[in-house]
Formats: sequence, structure tokens, C-alpha cells
Amino acid sequence: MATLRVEELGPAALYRKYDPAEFSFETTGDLDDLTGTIGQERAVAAIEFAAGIAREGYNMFALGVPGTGRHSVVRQYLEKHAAQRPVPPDVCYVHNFDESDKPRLLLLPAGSGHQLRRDMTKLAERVKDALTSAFESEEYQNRRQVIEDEFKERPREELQDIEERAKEAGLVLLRSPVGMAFAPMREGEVMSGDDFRKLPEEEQQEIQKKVEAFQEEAQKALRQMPSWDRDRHTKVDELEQEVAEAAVVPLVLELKEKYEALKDVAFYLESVQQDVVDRARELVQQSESSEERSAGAAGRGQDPDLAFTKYHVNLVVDNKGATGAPVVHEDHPTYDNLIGRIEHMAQFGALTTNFNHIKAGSLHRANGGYLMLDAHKLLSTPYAWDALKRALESHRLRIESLGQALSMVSTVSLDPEPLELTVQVVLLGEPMLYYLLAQHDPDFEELFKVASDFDSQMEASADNREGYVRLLAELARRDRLRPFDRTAVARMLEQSARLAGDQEKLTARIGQVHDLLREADYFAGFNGGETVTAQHVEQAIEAQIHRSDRIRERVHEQIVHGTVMVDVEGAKVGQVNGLSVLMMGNFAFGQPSRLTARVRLGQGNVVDIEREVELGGPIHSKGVLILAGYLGAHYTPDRPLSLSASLVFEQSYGGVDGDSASAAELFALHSAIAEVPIKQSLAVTGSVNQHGQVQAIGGANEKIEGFFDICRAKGMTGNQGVILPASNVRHLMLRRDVVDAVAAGRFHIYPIETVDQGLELLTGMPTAARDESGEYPPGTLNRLVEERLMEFAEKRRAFGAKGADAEDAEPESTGEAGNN
Amino acid sequence: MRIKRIVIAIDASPTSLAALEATAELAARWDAEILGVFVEDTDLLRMATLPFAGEVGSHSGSFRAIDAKDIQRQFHSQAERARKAFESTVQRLRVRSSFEVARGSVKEELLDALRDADLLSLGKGGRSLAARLGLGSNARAIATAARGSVLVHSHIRHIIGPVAVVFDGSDAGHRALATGIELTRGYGPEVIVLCISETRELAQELASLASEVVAADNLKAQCRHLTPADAPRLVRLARFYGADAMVVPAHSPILSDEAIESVITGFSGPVLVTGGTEKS
Repeated sequence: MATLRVEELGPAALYRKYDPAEFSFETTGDLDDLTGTIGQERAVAAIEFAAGIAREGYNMFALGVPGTGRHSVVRQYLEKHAAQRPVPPDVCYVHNFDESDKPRLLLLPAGSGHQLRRDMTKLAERVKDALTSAFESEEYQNRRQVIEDEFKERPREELQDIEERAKEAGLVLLRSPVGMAFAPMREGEVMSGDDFRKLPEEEQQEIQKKVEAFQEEAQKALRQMPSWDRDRHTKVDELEQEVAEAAVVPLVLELKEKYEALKDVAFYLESVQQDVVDRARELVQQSESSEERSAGAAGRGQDPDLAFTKYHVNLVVDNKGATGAPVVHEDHPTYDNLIGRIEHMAQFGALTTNFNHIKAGSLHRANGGYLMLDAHKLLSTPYAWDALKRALESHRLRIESLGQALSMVSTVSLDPEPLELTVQVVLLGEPMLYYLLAQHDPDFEELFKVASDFDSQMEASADNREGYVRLLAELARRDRLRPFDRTAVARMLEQSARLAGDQEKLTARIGQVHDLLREADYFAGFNGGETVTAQHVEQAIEAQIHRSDRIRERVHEQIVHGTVMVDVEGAKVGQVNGLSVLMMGNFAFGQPSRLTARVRLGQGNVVDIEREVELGGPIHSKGVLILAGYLGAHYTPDRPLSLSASLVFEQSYGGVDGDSASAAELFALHSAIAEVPIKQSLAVTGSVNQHGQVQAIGGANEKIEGFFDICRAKGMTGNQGVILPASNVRHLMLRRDVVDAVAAGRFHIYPIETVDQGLELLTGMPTAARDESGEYPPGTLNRLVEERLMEFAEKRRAFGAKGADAEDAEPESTGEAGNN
Repeated sequence: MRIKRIVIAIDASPTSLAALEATAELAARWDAEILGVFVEDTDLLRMATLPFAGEVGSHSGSFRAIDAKDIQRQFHSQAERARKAFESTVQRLRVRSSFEVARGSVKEELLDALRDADLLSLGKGGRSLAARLGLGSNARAIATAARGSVLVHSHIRHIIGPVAVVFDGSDAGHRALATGIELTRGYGPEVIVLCISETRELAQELASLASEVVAADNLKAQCRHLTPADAPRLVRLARFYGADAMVVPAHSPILSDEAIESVITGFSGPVLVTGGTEKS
């Protein structure tokens, strides 16, 4: 009987070797830096598109696994575009003289903000000096004195006149604690009530009339006093305005001429002038009292000239010296850091603030350009994501405290004029975040219309290889590492392929490659080398593995000592070596596991014990269910599959998932059904479909190396090896010692495409297809399996005939049959 | 001159409280005793018994009828406030003191209280005692009658700057100069002397005389002479030299009552009118 021939893989197929001779350079020191990027054409096109289109909603999410260079690539392309865009204006906040709690926004051409801030600080100082000397001048003092004297004399004269006339009329003006009173005099004394009543009636009336007349006059005079006082105030105000105008207008005029072209500034300067003139007296008084306080206040870090700081300019975004649009990366995207904040100052136990305490957020600084944010940080900072969306949706950047935004505080604070926002935001994050946002946040798609998808690997094409080598050279140079010679570069490329898990690819997770460069350089230095060679790279890789493989060592030790039972020689019925991969952070290793199968008469169900105890994941269960489909269709298409099988990963105490053991499970089932032993010198990985085709799995390298390590530890017999799906061959980048063992014929790797190929390798028996009569030829494994299954079917039918109600009684009778 | 006993007329008005503070400070400085007097004005009490008695509010200008009980109540409450303010001030400054409430004519009661005193201190402005007494003539009359001096206070509570003395060479003038020196001693190096006389020559002589007198006390005299002496010029000069207080002789043959009154009203600081034996 002819067997299905499976070609064992030669060493060349196990490892993509890069020939150092193919490189034209001696060391990476001969190479120029990489210009542009490599292997991320799709992502780069998306960045170019987003940066170029610059329209509403065309913000970008750069998704990719960490270490793929998203950050530097995005920044590089954004900076390229930013350089061609205009420099955005300077952003200033100034006092609002109409509504002091709503500071006004001034946008000025880049550089002018700086200038205006300096000019206004100087102006405030000059106004202070000018007002102080104007109000101290003899001219003002004398004119003011004249007004004061004039109005002081008036009521006095008025009352004196009344007093004198009263005296002439025989009355006296008396001053009581609350006012004044008139009384008749007699012989130099105030007349008493008794004396008064003794007077003739007529005289009494005459005196009373006179008193009343004077009372009225006094009332009239006193009632006029407030209006005289008003007149005095008005005159003093007029004088002060005149003096202040003379002092201040020439100072402001100078600036008005300087900023004539900037309408907003001109308008602002006009209101500054008006305010100074209106509040001149108050300003002088405040500056006098602040001078008295200044010694103490300066010690407490307070501004001694609070009255004049309202004429300062708070330059929150200074674009002086900028050459294009800004590219801002906010690495701490909190609510405040994004949208800005209003700080407060403790003053005599109370918190106070003004427009000078407004601080810009990164959105302010990035306005007119680009803002880069780490999506994970943004989403894990409370309310930052909502604030960002709100700003992008409304195109306005309003600074409000978190308390205000959530309507949790209602204390009086500032409400600065919002800034019109024209920023493009680039979020950088892992793909999972992108998909979650797309699925759960309805605003996300509207606001982030462009996805820049960074691949984790790239084709190892000639162009990419050349670029890759130059990237290595650039990274080495940037970190001031020793030059890497050709052998080292070749080894780096090989390791890159191993990291990509594909002979035809290179990893795009440059972060890992970068680490390896640094570590290889360390070993070169450690060994006293001038350049880094392949040997140093190898040393660095081994050291990386050694640093992380404590668990692997322990697991393998347990297998070698027989604590975990895995046979690597001999043959057993219903038992096969499966291969699994354990991930420990970034380090993965393969672990062989014993897979066993038991069969008995039953209803055609294959019990996955892992599943039953909830140690198996859904994909594993799916793989197991496929087995029943394959068995039924392959061997008993016209009869019910009448067996009950149980499958288990022996000594597995953690969870199992994935379908990469389904081929091994199927082989164990075949062995158990046909009662044909399986070679324990081989381990199996691969998944199967219902047609018996073997399909690719992940982690092929680690699995093979895992079994190899166990065989080596337990003793190499020369016929040990691994069976793997043929479609996984391109993923092989095996360790040097494994490749060497294969080359020496001490270890074997068999690529298979069908279940039958695997069965023949494991059992040594031919399998064969059905012949013309639809029968499997005698002496083949398939024949044995089929006969056994027929036997089960017959037995089940016999049981069915015995039972009155086959449907209901079947489970019990099956149980009995199983026990027999 | 030596001031041992000061009488202060207080009525709890803001100016009188400022006067109290400044006077108590002077008393502490001179180690003098201070007598606080609150006078219940009998003229007012008599007025209140008239059938049409009433008062016009000094601020509101409104009229209201009053009787003797109202006036009594006002006196009582004012006297109490005045006493409290007086006691708290004198205790703080540790000045020997006494306080009394008198009833009678304000002028007579004060004259009576001043009989054994060297200085009468009054508040200035509004319905202060100084205003009620008539500023110039009465201050002068009191000063004459009591052989002491009258200090008319403004709102200024502390005298720390230089003192301007009006000097005419008379005995009262010499007393004024001595008082000015007394007020300055320990507080500054300089006395401002404003010499007044009929002629320029005489004024210059007065200036050199004043300089000698002041120099004898180890102080310097800043002399200016004025012919003729008019009150507004005196006040302007005092202000120009930054004077905190003025000292004016009561019996100057050159200064009229009106001129003294004008100095008291025109000068923003305290004005001390010095008395002395009147020349016949």
C-alpha cells in the first residue's frame, strides 16, 4: 500500500537567512539617514490626506500597536505640512472695561502680542507716574482748594447770615446735638417757656411767627446743601478729568499711532484711556496705598500695583519667532491642560482672580495648526475627552473650570471671551481603542473622519530592506551607538523577521528593534568591540530570552522530571503530544502537552472536558465540534455516528483557547477509535476543518522550539520532530540550534496539508482513500476506524431494538454499554 | 510756659473725638493732667420749654418739635458716649484725668473749668463747641479770661510735623513762640516763625529776635515776615512749609478777631490760640 509522501523540511526552509554579502556597505556608519518612512504607505497616505484637507471633522486617529513609530511619523508629516501654513496670530487676554468678568480676547499678528504686552506694561507705569505728579502739582492742588473753599464758605455764609438776621430780630440760633433751633432772647439770655407765656398774646404770636420764619429759612438753606455738595463733586470731577486727560492722552496717543493698523488694539487703547481718565483719582489713591503696603505685599508674592495691572496684557499664546503653524504634543492631556484654566491667588484669606491669571491650554497653543494627543491618556483623564469633543464641535474654545462645566459651582468667576478654534487633532492609540470609540461613541466618526492605520509588519522587499537598514543606521547614530557591521545588520533583519513571525516580512514595531540595537551595542562594548557584529546581536537576543525565561525553565523542568507527563519516545493509543504557546509579557514560549482521547458507544458527541469545566475557550470548543463533523462525514456518512468520545489536555490547570490543537485531538481520536498507537516522538500543531484539511496556526516557531528543548533535555533519539501545517512554513524563523539539529538529521519537521498525512506520520500505517467500491482498502488506518465506527453503530442499533422507546431510553442504555 | 492742666470740652462729635486723641497725646507728652467737661447747655434746655420749640436737622433740613425731655435725653446719651470715649483714651495713654458733666452756659462753664487750667481744647467745624462759641472772639475771650490758651482741633489726630508760630513781638507773641518751641521739642529740629508787623524793618527785627529765642532752645527757626499780615497768607505759608499745627497769639495788636477766626477756619490742622496778661 502506497503511503502519502510528506517531504521533511530542510534547514533552508526553517530560517530566512540574510547574506551579509548582499550589502554594499561595511558598517552602518557608511549609510545615510532614512528619508521618509518605510512600510507604512497606507498610514502615511492617510496622514498626508488629513493634513492636506484640513476641513471640519477631518481630525485623525493614528492607530497601531506601540513601537510602530506612529508618533515620530505623524509628527514628521504634520511638521512638513505645518511649515507651509501661515503662522497663527498671538492670543492675548485684556481687561473688559464694560464687563469686568468677561475678559476680552485680542488676536494680533505673530510677534505683536509680545510687543503690545511690553508697551502696555510700560504705559501702566508711565500713567501711574504721570497721574501722581499731575495730582500732586500745585496747579491741581490750588484749583481744587479754590473749589473746596468756595463750597465750604457757602453754607457757612448762608447760616451766618441767618444767624445775624435772627440776632437783629431778637432771636438766637442755638445748635443742638442733632441740628439747630431758634429762640427769643431776653436780657442776654434765652427766654424760657414760662417767661414767654407771661408775654402779651400779640407779642407771643409775633415772636412765634419770627421763629417759624427763621426755621423755614434754615430749612431751605440746609436742604440746599446736598445740591451744593453735588455741584462741588461735579466741579472736582471735571477738574480731575481735565488734569488726567492732560497727563494721559499724550501717552496713549503714542501707542494709538503705533497700533493704528490694528483696529481691535486701537479700540482697546481708547477704552484704556477712557478708564484711566474716569478713575484717575481712585488710581492715584490706590497707588499711594499700595506703596504703603508694597513692602509687605511683595514679600507675599503679590503685585503692589494691583490698580494698574488691569492695563496689562496677558499674552497667553506667543507665536513670536514661529515659522509655520504649530504642531503641539500634549503629553498630559488633562481637562485644564487642554482647554486652559483660570488660576486664583490667595489674598488676605480670600481667593481672587483677574484676566492676568488666565492660562492657555494646549488647544490654544495648537490653534491654527495641529494637536497630537495620546488617546489612552486622554480617555483615562476625567472629562478631557468630553471637553475636547465640545471644543471641536463648537469650534470655540471656552475656558471654564471643571466645576463650572459640570454646573457644580456657581461662584462668581471669569468668563473669558472664547477663542475661535481651527485646530486639527491627531489621536494616537491602539487599534482596539479606535474600534471601541467607533462603536460606542456616536460623535467619534463625525469628528475623526480619518484613520491612519499603522501596520505592525512590512514586506521584506528589496526597497524596504534598504530603507530598513538605513533606519537601523539612523537609530544607531542618533543613540550614538557603535556602527553595526554587515553581519550584525543581517542578523538584525533576521530577528526582525522572527519578530514579524514571517520569513517574508520585517517587523514594523521599531521600538523592539531599537531596544535590540542598544543592547547589542552594550554587548559589543562589554566585549571591547569597535563595531557591533552578529555575535553581539545574538548575545543580546539570548540575554533578552534569558532575562524572561524563568517560567519556561520551570515548566520545562517539570516535564523533564516527569511531574508533567510528556513522552518523547515510544507509542501510545489515544495519546498525542500537542503544542501550546504561553505568553509572559512580550516573551512567548512553546510547551508540549499530553492530549488524550477515550471513546465508547454513544450518540456521536465529542466531549471537550476543558469546555465542560470551563477551562476551554469558545474557539477551542469550536475546533472540537468540527472533529465530530469530520468523523461522521468521513467514516459513517450513512449511519449515525455512534460513539461518545472525551478529549482532554492532561495536567492542564489553566485555561486553554485556540483551535491549534484540533489536529492533535483528531489524531488522538483516530488512535483511540482504531486502537492504533501513536508515536510519542512527534508533536503536532495545526487546526483542521470538516474536510480534513490542516490549517495554519500561530506561534509555530515557539511551539517547535518548545518541543525541541524538551526532547533535548529528555534525550534526542534522532527520530523526534514536529508536524505542522504546510501553510505555516513561511512563518518559520527557527532558532539556530533547531536548524542545526534538522540539518544533522537529529530533528524533523513535517509540513502536512491533510489529516491523513499526519495520521500516516504518527501511526506509520497507510491511510488511503476509498476505492471504486466506496470501501477503504483493508490494512489501512481509515479502514480500521471505519470498521470500529460501524461496530459502534451496529451495537447502538441493537440497543435501540431492545429498548421500547429508543428515543427516551437511549441515554441510559448508552451509559450501560459504556460501562461494559 | 508750662502746661500742667488741660481742659477738654467733649461732646462725642467726630471732631471732638479727634481733638480728644490729640489733646491726650499732648497731655502725655507734657505730663499734664486732663479734665474732660461735658456741658449741658442751659440755653437749649430753656429753648425746649417754649411752646413752639423745635429743631431743624443739620443734615436733613427737616423740622421737628421738641420738648425739654427730648433735650435731656440727648444730653444724657451724649454725655455717656463722651465719658466712655474719654476714659478709654486716657487709660490707653496713661494720662491723669477726671471727667465732669456740667450744666449751664457753655462759655461760662468752660471758663469756670478753665480757671485752674492752662489750656482749653476744642473741636472744630460743624456743630462743634468752637463753632457754637464763635470761633475767633470767644476763643480769644476764653484765652484772656482764663490766662490760658485755646487749642482748636481739626480732624488731625496727631501732631508730628513742624509747627508754625505767628510772632508779633508782644508778650502774647512770646508766649506763642514758647508754646511752639514746646510743641516742637523732641519731634523736629525746626520751628516755622511767621513774623508780622506794621513795617518791613520791624518784621526783620522780629525775625532775628525769634531766631535767637529759638536757638536758645537748640532748635532752628525758619523765619518769614509778612507786612501787612492777612490771615489767608498766613495759612498759605504754614501749608507751604508743611506745618501740622499753628500757634497764634490771642492779643496781638496786629491780628483782629476776624483774622484769628479766619486762620482757625482756613488752616486744616489744629490751631492753638495763646492767651496771656492783656496789655492795658
